Amino acid sequence: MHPTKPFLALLGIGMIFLGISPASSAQATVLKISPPHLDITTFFSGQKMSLTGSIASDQDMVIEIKGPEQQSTFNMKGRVGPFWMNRGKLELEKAPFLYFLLLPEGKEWPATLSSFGVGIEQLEKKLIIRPESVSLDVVFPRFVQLKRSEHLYGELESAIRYFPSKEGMKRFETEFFFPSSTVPGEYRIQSRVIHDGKVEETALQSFKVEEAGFIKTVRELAYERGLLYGIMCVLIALFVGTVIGLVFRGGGAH
Amino acid sequence: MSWFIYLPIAHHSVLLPVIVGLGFLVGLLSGLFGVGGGFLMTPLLIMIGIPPTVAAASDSNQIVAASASGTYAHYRLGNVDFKMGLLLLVGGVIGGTAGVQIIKLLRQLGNADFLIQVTYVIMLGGVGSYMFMESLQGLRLTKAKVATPTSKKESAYARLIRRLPFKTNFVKSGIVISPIVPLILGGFVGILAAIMGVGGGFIMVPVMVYLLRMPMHVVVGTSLFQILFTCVNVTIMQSYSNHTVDFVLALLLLIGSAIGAQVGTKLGRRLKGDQLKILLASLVLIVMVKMLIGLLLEPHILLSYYGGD
Repeated sequence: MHPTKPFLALLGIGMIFLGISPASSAQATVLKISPPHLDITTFFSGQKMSLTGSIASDQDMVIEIKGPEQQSTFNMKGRVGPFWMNRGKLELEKAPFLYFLLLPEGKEWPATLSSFGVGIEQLEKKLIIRPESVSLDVVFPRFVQLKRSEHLYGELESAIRYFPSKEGMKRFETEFFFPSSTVPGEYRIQSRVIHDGKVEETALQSFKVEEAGFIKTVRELAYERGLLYGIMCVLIALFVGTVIGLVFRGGGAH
Repeated sequence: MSWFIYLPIAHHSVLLPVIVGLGFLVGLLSGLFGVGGGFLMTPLLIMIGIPPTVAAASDSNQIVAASASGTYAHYRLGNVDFKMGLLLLVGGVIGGTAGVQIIKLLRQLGNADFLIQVTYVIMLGGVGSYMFMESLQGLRLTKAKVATPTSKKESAYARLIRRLPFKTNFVKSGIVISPIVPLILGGFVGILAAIMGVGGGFIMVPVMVYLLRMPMHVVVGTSLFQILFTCVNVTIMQSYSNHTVDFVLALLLLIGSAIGAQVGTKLGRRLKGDQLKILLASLVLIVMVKMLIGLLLEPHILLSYYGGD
């Protein structure tokens, strides 16, 4: 027997157990992403992207957009006597900067999807909190509330629309708006084809967000030549301040 | 043409007229009262989505322009006491360094934030109320044209200051005192500024008015001169150590603030010293009330990014 055969058999059993058909593994459903990548330039104020594709008429499509993972530091608010103030510092690791779940209309989707480990609530399992003495169960809902208030996390119901296509198939279409606070990095777009309460296909595609032009130059200078950048910032500020002072000279001094 | 512009360090897109307008407003206060305006600008920037650390550092950069513009305008009017400003600055740097160590110690002892915020509220409330009452009295006296000379009893503070050695004539300020006084007072403000995380203009201005007895118009010019150097140092340090200065944000803010500082200086010349003091006192009291409300009301979200409120 070929040495890889037992491994493949085990993989097949695992996939059936997870409700994923071996015949329809990743890349079976091609998700067309337009534009294929995003450039952040000087006048960037957010960008709309469209995701389209085709599935069988009795199937459903859900799409997860997330990334890039970050390590962030937060203040925990608490009460001291009659006052509300910062009561401690904590760090969260492996939290995506942005997370959106795009759902088709109908059905109780979040409940169905949580069994597949999909949805905002499922992110908690991957997070690492420091110090460990702080309860993640207490912090996580507050973290999600903060991210939702910044419009960086969401579960968008009825975001995916269906249109009739050729026999036995339907076309799906959705639009997603990358907010103006989007950070550069690699985002993951995971599509799942669902049928009869099971995930039949999954496909993972990456989506690059990059800085370009003047924005890229400034950022590189700030991070790679911090001292020079700082001196330059001061000199420009002094120059502008003095020039404006001189411009106002005619009308001001007595 | 788009009115939006993307900030490379803040990673945020902002509406251009909003940022220039904010800069103008804060520059106006700077020119009027000789304060940096960080107490107002940083929370406003956080409110429009700028990360707290970037908001504070970029604000320092824009204050460089506003204070340079304001210092120049006041210099032409003869309102800058360079000698006094340098002594306060040296004291402030020494005090600021000590303040950073004190805050480290306080944090190790726990509840440092509580102490800082309550001290801030008490200080703003005390300084604001005293300034308000004193200026109001001054205005009333002017109106009533009371010209009777008062023979005030010399205070212990005045006696102490009189006894200090190396007396120097500060011509612009019209006072003769020992340089030790501005050095110590500058150090005291530096400690408080480092502990409270503010530039110190709010504390420095009342210190110059009430403890150094400098004329209000010279106070404004000299305070701006001192703030200029403090913010140059902060901008370079933040750029080098934390990469949190957003040049694009600062440039937009400083165009507005440098113009605002000029308008503020001109406006200030039309007002009397007591009128300026009463306006500043009102501003200090408004900030104090805002802080107090923030402390008493439960926040909507019990988690915030580190470096913010």
